[in-house]
Amino acid sequence: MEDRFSREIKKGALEMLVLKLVCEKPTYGYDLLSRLKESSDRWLTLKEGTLYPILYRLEDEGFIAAQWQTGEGRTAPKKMYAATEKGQTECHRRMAVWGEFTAIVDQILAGGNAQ
Amino acid sequence: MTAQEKKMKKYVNAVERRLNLPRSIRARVMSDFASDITARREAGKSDDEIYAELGTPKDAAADLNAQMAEFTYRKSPWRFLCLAAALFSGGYLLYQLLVVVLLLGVLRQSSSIGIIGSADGPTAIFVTATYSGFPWSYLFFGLVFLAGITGYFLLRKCKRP
Repeated sequence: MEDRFSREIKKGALEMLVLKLVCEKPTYGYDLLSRLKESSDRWLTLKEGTLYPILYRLEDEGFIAAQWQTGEGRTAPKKMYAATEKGQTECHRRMAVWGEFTAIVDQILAGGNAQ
Repeated sequence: MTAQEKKMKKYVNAVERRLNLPRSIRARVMSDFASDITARREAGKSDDEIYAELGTPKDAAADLNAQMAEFTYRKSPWRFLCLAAALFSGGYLLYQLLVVVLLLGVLRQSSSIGIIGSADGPTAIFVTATYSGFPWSYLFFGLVFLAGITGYFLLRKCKRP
């Protein structure tokens, strides 16, 4: 799944997906990696290096915020990311854009085959 | 600290050492990295599994460097303008200094050999004319030089993309 085309389309969706996952519930880096891998049948198996720039971009634009969560009981503190209100709005907006875009792409692809 | 914790700390430090990123990003990355190691442990992974997943410090750092490089803030290209200004004014001042040194050298030599009419008269007038009044141009170029050097080093600090 590492040809250039696959990489490009993954790149387009990844930031939106990460934002969506953070909007669902506050989470941390490793949790995002696991959830992405599991819910994508391993299509989206990321490494830390790929995830961090996405998180930092989202954080710098104010869509998510980081906070150290003190561990309960014997767990150690972890860095948690939670979506801001701005982030929730942006998430919905991006999902709408994605919906429109994929509909158009599917339409063009379907139209092409008909000929 | 247990032996296991020591080993993990060594690993994290080894990764951080190899990170070729600006200080602020490095701190950010390392905090997330350490947090994710903790998370993996809590998810039940053994340290050996974690090392296997993350790779050697060299590999882990190389991956982070490569991915974060795009994200790293660019240094402002204006710094070259500052450098050029500094070099130009520095060169000008150096040239003036050479002229002064040479002139003084010539004058001194002339007066020690005692060539008639050169130690005073036209030479003296020329020298006094060159250095009469406050050397504003030197001050100006001196300031430009300092500003240029300062600007170059300040602009080398990474700016936002």
